[in-house]
Amino acid sequence: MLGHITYLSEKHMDVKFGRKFQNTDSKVSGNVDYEVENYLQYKGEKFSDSFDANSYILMTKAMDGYDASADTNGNLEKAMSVIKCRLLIIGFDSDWLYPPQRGKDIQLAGMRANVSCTYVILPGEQGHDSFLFAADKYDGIINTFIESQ
Amino acid sequence: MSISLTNIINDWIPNQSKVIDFGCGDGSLLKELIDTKKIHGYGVEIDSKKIQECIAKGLSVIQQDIDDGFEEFESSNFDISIMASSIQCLKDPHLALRRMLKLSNKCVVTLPNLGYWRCRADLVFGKMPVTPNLPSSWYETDNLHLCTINDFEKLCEDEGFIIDKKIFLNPDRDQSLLASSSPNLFASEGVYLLGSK
Repeated sequence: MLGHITYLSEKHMDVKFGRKFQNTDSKVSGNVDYEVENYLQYKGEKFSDSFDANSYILMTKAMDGYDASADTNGNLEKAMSVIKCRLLIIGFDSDWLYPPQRGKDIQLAGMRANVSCTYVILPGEQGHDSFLFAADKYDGIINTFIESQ
Repeated sequence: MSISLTNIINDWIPNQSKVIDFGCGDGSLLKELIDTKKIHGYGVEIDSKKIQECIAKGLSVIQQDIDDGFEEFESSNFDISIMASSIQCLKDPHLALRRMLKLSNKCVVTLPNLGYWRCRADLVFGKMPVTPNLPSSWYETDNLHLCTINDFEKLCEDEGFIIDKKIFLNPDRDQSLLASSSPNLFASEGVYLLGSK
């Protein structure tokens, strides 16, 4: 449930649920009081039916262990200096799973290493999922970038 | 004869130098400098439509509000920073100039001259100036800190910025004798190459 929240944004959650109480008829269990609880409980059960929880642990550990600068003693700039292509880095302002500042860090390291890199931040109210909702802006930039190669 | 900004500053930009253009707009200047001087260029722009135009030209552009500062670029070893016709739109122009000269040894700044005779004439007749260099009406303009050529050079003196080169243009983007001899009155635009002590 906690993981699922990171795909959304605070504003989106607030607009969608706020502090509304869950209708008794559609409660997933007797323990939930609020709509947001009910939603997260429902999503959690759906995920646990579809995926093995251990796969999530493994994937999380794999992601935690990934370090782009592992081979260059933590120097991201040095790691990026081998890049020969142009980079396009896009972030959404409400994304707290991949915060825009992390994208900016990559862009800055690329710039220090003389890599051609573009950094764009798009507005979106759906957190990490904004790339699904703001697809026209997202696609537009990617298409323009690819066509300019 | 009208001269493009690229031609004006062409000799000031070393071949293959690392250049950052603040308020790069649609990226035309950067693109010309890449084509003519083989520079490694980056643009900084806030407007998303203009950013898309830069991307379409194959440029590297960073979406950022210059007023928020740009100290994070200081370790990128830029040779030249450029701010063309944007300095007057910033909240703190003097701080932006200081920052530019911290991240590069030289910076190119262009600015419209409020002391230009047509601006003065408009003010004498009781209206805000609208000229080729200041085309927007008072309620539509992005300009926050307009100044005269004399004002700008006084700021450079006060801040310890060294004016290495300067060129004054009339509204036709021409270096006329009048604009060069009495720039505060007859130049509509000033183009400067600044360094620091």
